[in-house]
Amino acid sequence: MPEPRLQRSLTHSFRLPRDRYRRVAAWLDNTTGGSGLIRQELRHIFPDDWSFFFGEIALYCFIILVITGVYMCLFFKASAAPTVYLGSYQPLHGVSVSEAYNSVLRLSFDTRAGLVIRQVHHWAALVFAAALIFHLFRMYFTGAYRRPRRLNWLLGLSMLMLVVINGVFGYSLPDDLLSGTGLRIAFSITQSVPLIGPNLASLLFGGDFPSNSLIARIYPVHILLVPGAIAGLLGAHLGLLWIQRHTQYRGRRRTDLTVVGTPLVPAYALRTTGFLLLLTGLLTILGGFFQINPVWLYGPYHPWDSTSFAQPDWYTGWLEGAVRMMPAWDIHIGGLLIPGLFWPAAVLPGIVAGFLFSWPWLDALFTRDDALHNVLETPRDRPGRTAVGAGVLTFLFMLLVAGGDDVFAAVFHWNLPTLLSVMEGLTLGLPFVVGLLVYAIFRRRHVTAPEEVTP
Amino acid sequence: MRGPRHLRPRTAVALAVVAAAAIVLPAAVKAASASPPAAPVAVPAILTATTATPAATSATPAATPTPPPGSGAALFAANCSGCHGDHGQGLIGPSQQADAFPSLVAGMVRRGGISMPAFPQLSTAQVDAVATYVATQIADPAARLGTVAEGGAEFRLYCSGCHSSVGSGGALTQGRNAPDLRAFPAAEALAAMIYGRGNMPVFAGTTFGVRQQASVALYVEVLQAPPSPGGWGLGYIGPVPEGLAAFLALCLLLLVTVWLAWGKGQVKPEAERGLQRPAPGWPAGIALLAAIAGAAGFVAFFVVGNNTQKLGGTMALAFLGLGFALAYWGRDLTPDDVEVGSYPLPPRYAASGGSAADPPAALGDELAGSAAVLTRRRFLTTILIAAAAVVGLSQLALAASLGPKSRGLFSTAWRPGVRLVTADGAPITRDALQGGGIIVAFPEGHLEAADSQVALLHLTGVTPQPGRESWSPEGFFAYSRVCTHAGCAVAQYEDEAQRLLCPCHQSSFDLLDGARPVGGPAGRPLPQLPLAIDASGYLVAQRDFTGPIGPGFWNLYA
Repeated sequence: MPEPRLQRSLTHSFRLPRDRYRRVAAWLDNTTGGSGLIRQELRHIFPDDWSFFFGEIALYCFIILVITGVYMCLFFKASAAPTVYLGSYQPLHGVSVSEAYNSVLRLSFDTRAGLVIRQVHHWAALVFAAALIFHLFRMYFTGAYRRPRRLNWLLGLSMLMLVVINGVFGYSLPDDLLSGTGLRIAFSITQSVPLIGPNLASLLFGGDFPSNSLIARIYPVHILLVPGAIAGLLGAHLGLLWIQRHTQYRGRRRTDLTVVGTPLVPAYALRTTGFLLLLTGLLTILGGFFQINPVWLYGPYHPWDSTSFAQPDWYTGWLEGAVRMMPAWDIHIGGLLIPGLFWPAAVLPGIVAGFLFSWPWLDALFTRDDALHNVLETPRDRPGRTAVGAGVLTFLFMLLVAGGDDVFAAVFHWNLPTLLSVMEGLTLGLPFVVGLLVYAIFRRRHVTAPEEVTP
Repeated sequence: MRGPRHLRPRTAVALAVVAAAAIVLPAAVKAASASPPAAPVAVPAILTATTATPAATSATPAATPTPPPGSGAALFAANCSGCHGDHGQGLIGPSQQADAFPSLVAGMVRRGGISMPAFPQLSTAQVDAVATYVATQIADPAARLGTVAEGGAEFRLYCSGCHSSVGSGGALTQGRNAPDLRAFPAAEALAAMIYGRGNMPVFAGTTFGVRQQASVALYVEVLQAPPSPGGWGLGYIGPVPEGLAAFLALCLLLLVTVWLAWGKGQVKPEAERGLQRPAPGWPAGIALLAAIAGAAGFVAFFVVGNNTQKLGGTMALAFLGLGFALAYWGRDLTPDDVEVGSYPLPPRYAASGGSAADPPAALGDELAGSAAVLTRRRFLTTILIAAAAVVGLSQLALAASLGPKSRGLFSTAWRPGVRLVTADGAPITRDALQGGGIIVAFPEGHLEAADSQVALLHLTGVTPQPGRESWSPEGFFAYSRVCTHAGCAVAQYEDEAQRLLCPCHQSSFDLLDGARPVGGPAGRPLPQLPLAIDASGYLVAQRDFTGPIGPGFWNLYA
């Protein structure tokens, strides 16, 4: 056996130092030749601010989702085939359910720690989307989307869309009453698209609703395609972040040319790893003590069953609200129909996405500022932008509230149709009021930004 | 030398090992002798018994304590027969034919219902005696065949549209709510089914018999204390409070981020440097000990059972301990080294300090050089691009295999002469719905046909729409139950207002006016199924719907 001898002689000839760090570094150099690069990158500078953690929350939620998701994959059965539930949850004992629903019940009741992992997964998804929204609007209100970070803005937005879509798929997989209701609505929305709708719905959903192939079809998309795409985009997003360095707020010695911050190792790495674990702990508390999506109470889905309090998870709640409030605008064009559902469910998200995707260019157009920026602005620096953002946020928030109108009506004993009318008025009016108010306040308090201190 | 306040690492490890051993060892011993974990879901014992063996229950009624002075029969005669009749057939109070389960009756006697008083003067033994008497001697034997599972299915078909699948109620029109069923004794549900109440229709008669009623009452009993192995149920009102909780959790995380980033990464003026007092090490040590204890506890709880709170709590302790220790180490035990670096700007940009219009030259020249090599073979390049596009597009043909062609949005399973049957497959006769109410009906032989479900109603004194005079024989109207807005089952029926409502987006349809939409986002009426009554008295379809059912699409009127 010549190889081990050769190895030993090589190792011996290099006379590796006894110190273990040096030994690791030497091994790295011997295998990759990269220790110089690593040494440099270990001192990578991260500007510090609490608001820069939103992206990290999202990143860590993604990691937790992948880990808990892989665990659940081992137990979930993506099939609509009928079976009889014979697990330990008595009220459904002997009920004919789908294999998918059966496997979720078995995961929840008859797999050790299955329920806590499932609940952590669901909570992580909700916090993930919330963190992304905070991240997005932190970028917006501080002007972080400006050159040279326009591409990264697009990458981030694409991931947000994928996260929302994958959330809907995950909500659909257990095949409980709420899942099926959501899929039925998704089918109707697809069907509402002019010209291609009926065929597109049939193509995507596997024929008429509900088709037997639907769950089996969503599953690989939920666990492989979309997470894979997110992982790819995430790599590009973080790669760009790394190359370009993070933005920074104004401060001593901070300019568009010089970055001031904490080096990755040791302080920043310790803090952020600790934060990852703290986040995991918090999500585990949620998963352990706060019940989420009790599918055994909702029951299996049948197209003839439905339930009050039927809501999507919060990140699609704004679309739900739009669908609820939109009047019946069925448009007839010479014997053809554009169903009213098409406007709030397909056109509105298109407009919102279009606005967000094009914002960096719109902003450059309005401000005639096409230069590179590494120092962030504060919301106060740009009252106009802040007002627009506040208005858009108010609009989306009112839609989100309207998505739960029946819950609020039932809990607070309000008249549902009246509440709906009030919400319609507020959704159309309040964004302008809030926008103008924000503009007026920030305009008055606006102080010209002090010139950045050059090194 | 380390300061005295610092926890020595070896001491910490030793303590941790002792702590871990103290937790793991007893647990392991217990696990070795442990029986298999108990069923995690607590369900009232009486229900478990009845669901598992309904026949056994009917044969051997629940253990009856020997009735002291008066038997169950005597107590019934003294306390109940005045309202329920001598044989429980119903008088002022409802019939007791469906009161087949003693626990439900007992709960009603103790707590009373909306119109029935409570009977606090009866002792526990007396209540049990009278409940057993009612369940075994008065209730219809058919009602004893009811099961929780069957009740759940009926509940989701007929009740959850208004009361929600968790029984927590829901909003209706005109400021009215479907009540939270968990606030009533389960037997109260029986009275509501028999009589109807306010906007709630009657659920009784030939197609909704005592067995169905008893099953639903059993299921309502389960929902009184909903099984929540996952922890606090957040009010059991669906995903809205879950979203709220997620945002609250995020706000909590923001506090953590503020703590982590406080005063970090700033170049401080000379005078402020080096003034910080060194932080103590013991918080990190304690956190690490807690983490080890948490991990050990998690393993122990995992070995002995499947309690989500114990597993989640210990797992959380492990992660929080480790996380706090690392974060504290990075934040307080590591010197604040702040560095100043430079952003990777194009060299010329950096030099001129301004205009973005100056692109860096080197890469551009390189690319231009390569492009020149390529464009020399212009013809080949064009072909290459075209071929790549064709190859790529040709693979899209695979997508066509995705969907079997739709059976067609223009027809359902209804054919001339097909009988209407209930969800159980029982044909429906002209005797049905004489006391009011609603039946979800399907074409016979097509119980799985989602697009064919209809809401069957018996509406007296309603004038049919022009042109549909022959569609509603003897006042039977059948409307498609698939919402014309987004396709949910139109499951809410307001008896007083005579409206059908969709619980998904609150579209409402006026039954007095051909199921025309009168509120919410739906734009088209629910299609009506033309009915007839055949020679044997069964309800049948005259033919299929005259147009597509369900949500709209572009060529709907084709």
